[in-house]
Amino acid sequence: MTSASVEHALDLGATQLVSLLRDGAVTPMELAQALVARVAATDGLLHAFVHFEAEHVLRAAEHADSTTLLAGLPIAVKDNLDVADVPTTAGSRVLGDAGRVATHDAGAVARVRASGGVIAGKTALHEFAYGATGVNPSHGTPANPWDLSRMPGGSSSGSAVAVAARQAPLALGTDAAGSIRMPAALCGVVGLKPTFGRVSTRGVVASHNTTVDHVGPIARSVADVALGMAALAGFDPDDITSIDEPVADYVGALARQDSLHGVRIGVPRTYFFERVASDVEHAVRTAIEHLASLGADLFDLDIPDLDDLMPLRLALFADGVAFHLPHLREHPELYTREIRQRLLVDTFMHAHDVARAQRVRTILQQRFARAFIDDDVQAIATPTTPVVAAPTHAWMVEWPGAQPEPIGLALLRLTAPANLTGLPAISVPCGFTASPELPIGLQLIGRPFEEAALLHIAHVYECTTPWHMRRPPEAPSV
Amino acid sequence: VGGDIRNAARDVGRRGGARVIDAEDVQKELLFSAGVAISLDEARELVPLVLAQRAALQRLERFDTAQMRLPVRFDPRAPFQRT
Repeated sequence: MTSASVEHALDLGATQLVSLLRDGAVTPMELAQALVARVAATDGLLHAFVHFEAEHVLRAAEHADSTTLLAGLPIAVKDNLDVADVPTTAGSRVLGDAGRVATHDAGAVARVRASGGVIAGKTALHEFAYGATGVNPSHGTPANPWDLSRMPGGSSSGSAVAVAARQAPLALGTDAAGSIRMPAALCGVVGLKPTFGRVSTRGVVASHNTTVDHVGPIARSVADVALGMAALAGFDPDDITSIDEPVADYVGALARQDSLHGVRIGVPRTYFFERVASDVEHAVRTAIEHLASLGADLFDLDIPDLDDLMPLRLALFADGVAFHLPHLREHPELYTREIRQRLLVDTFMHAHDVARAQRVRTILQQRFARAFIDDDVQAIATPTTPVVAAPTHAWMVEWPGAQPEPIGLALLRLTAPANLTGLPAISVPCGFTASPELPIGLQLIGRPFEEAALLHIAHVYECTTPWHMRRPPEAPSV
Repeated sequence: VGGDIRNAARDVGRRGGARVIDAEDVQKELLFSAGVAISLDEARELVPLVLAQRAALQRLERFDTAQMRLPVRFDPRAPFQRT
């Protein structure tokens, strides 16, 4: 390939690139060189990466095997996942200004390498993955490629921005309350949080409650996310949270592209459509009608008491204090004010709060299970976020007839239930606001270990709608 | 955030379920239970946040959890296998 056409290849998705790599139409080294050039040309504006060593990328590409699943595909990694011999910052100065150098690959990173992927840089995140906006005064805030003045969403902000801006065809994120799906929705790409236990979380900085954290792929199409899952999914005997369940054929699940006949989808009557911006609700309800037009049967669902159940998240998250307390005692000034305050407040959590929350979590799980089982639905359709990307320094969301809501809490309100239940959930683009043109996400929540069903529904939706083909202004074509 | 937290703090007062705390309490409690020393100014900023958190947690009290038993490890499959 000529250098111009190789750079043009970065506009292609992961699946198409793997096909070119396997056919020898492009080599892993050519692709890596193009990616290095793209990141050098664009990241001064976008700040998606916190660590990008061109030499490392090119060296890995040199040894890439194009007969493997990922065939030398470059993959960006959120900087709270360890990559051997590379510093991990977790988006904070607490681990040292330059981070601490990891001695081993995280489980998910090891699977990417074993599948023939080339690790291509560490991406920015909200400090310690503790926020939904992606705004990080300590290590820099990635710019949303749809509008540089707007927040990218978090906490996997850099991974979503890099994918949306064609700096990487596929990226890894982590998700403890929506941190893969929220930035995917705000940046107009696809993100999947797998079932708890499906993808190894070994080697993720344990700054969160480890029973709500997940690792998953972000890419520009459902097919590319399925490819990522094919590489990532599987039992990790060295990860205490890993669950030994058979791995489905995620790529094969996409064979049917035009029909959802026989698919049953639930639409919640409450919670998920309350305090949602009108343009977001309109786009998501239109998307759900589209699913019905493709043959899906829709069912109104009641999942009672979610408003009162969801505060259990606060008590579970306070478990992160176990990680942070030594740092808070020794170097509190290294935290940003937002995260330091949040952690200090978490130290006021009592044992009875956590005990009750753990029990209430069981009730939440039962409510969702009943919703799936009573109407025998395969997925629950909701907005991913109640609002689109706000200006970077926005702080509150105003709701008619309701209290203003901190934007960081509003953004995760609809995604966090899937973390507390451990259910898989995917976000796919389902429309845009009119002016400014900003992406809107449709969330599909599934049954445990039924990622293939979600991917199938999302793929058929994507194949019959134009949203994923739109290109953000800050991802100029060559 | 201020307005939201003040509303939550008022809610705590209405429910009457939380003890009233001030900045000195927050400062002492952090030092006692967590070994973290903070200034009185910072403690003052935390007071409404602590109250808001307490108000949110009180919402969990409406669920009857007294007789519930917990699994050894979290498993997303569990309620689907039992329901």
